[in-house]
Amino acid sequence: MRLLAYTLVWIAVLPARAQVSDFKGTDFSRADSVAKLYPNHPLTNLPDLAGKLTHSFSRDEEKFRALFTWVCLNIRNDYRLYLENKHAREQCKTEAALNEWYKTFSKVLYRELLQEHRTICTGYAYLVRELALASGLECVMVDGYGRTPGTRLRKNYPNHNWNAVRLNGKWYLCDATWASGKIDRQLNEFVPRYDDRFFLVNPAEFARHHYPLDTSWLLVQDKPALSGFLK
Amino acid sequence: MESGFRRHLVIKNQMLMKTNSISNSPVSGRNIGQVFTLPGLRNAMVIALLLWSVAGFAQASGQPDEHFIKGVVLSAEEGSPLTGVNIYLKDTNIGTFSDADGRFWFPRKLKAGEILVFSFVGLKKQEYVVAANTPESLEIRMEADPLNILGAVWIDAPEKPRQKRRSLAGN
Repeated sequence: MRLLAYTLVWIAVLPARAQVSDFKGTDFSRADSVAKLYPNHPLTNLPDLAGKLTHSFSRDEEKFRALFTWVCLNIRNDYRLYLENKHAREQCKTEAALNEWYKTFSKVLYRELLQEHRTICTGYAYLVRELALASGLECVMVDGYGRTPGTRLRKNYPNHNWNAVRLNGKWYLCDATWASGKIDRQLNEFVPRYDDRFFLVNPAEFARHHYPLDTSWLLVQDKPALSGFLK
Repeated sequence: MESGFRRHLVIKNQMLMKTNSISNSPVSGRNIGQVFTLPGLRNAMVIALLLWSVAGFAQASGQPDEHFIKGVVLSAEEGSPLTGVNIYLKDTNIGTFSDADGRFWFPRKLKAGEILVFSFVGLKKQEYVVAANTPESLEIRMEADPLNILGAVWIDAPEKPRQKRRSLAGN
């Protein structure tokens, strides 16, 4: 009788737990080890790379984990490129000038990603999206504001890209750029170190650092205000 | 399918013309023995030809619209050849990529309705639905895929306030 009561309580509690973090107890070590089988794999054939990373998994979250881990371990954040883009964007006074800059800089960005495996957040989000799509997973790039220690955010000046991915019919958020490592301020260069805090994060937690331009990507019922986030 | 069938018809007609020329040749007048054997031979040949063409037709209709596709991939903006573009049959691993001149030859025969996907980093993905009468050589023009480039980095120490002061002075 007591066992039955425990079981009933457990069944009642389970969905609530799942709401908080669906993959808290999931063992991703197999997906991570598959990702480690392909160090520095070229990006010249993304469908092929996506297939290698995901073909041994049947669960959406494991497929996605394998390619997310691969991106985090193999792509370096290019601080120089980041500064170049930041500076140029600040010089652009009009929307047209900005679009022109994006067009020019996109080519540089793609070339650097392909040849050097280096990029900035847009390249990370692009690569995650392309690999996910090639693996049959729905995935989008999200534009918005990213808050890091010490950054000053300005309205109408979004500064970050990340991804939303649909796994088993439900949308989740992740940020491969910040999961891959940090910029060391003293050395002024990227220090790779995987940070699991940015993988399939619970939306309320994710919203502490990320505010999308399209607020539907907050994935929360009670949307916090942008003004509060920018403070 | 059509072209295959037409080819068979042409061959068949040529063969019939040959048989006709045999029967109308002056040989039939000179050798009586041959005159009697010829209709038998002719019937056998006509039946053989009919069987052959029916078999040929059945074969042609059994594999409708299967054909090889080759082509060239060009940049939509500059018209220059694009190298290394991935070309694959949708939802399969079957594929190839374009060479230094942007040219490709798909390694498998394709049926009408099958979808070829053209993709590469930095280019908008394109799909091509194989048509019944696909031209032998495709010309695929791919557009660049410009991104809204943003870029926040996770810095493990606060940025120096130096820049803020400078911008205030500038104003």
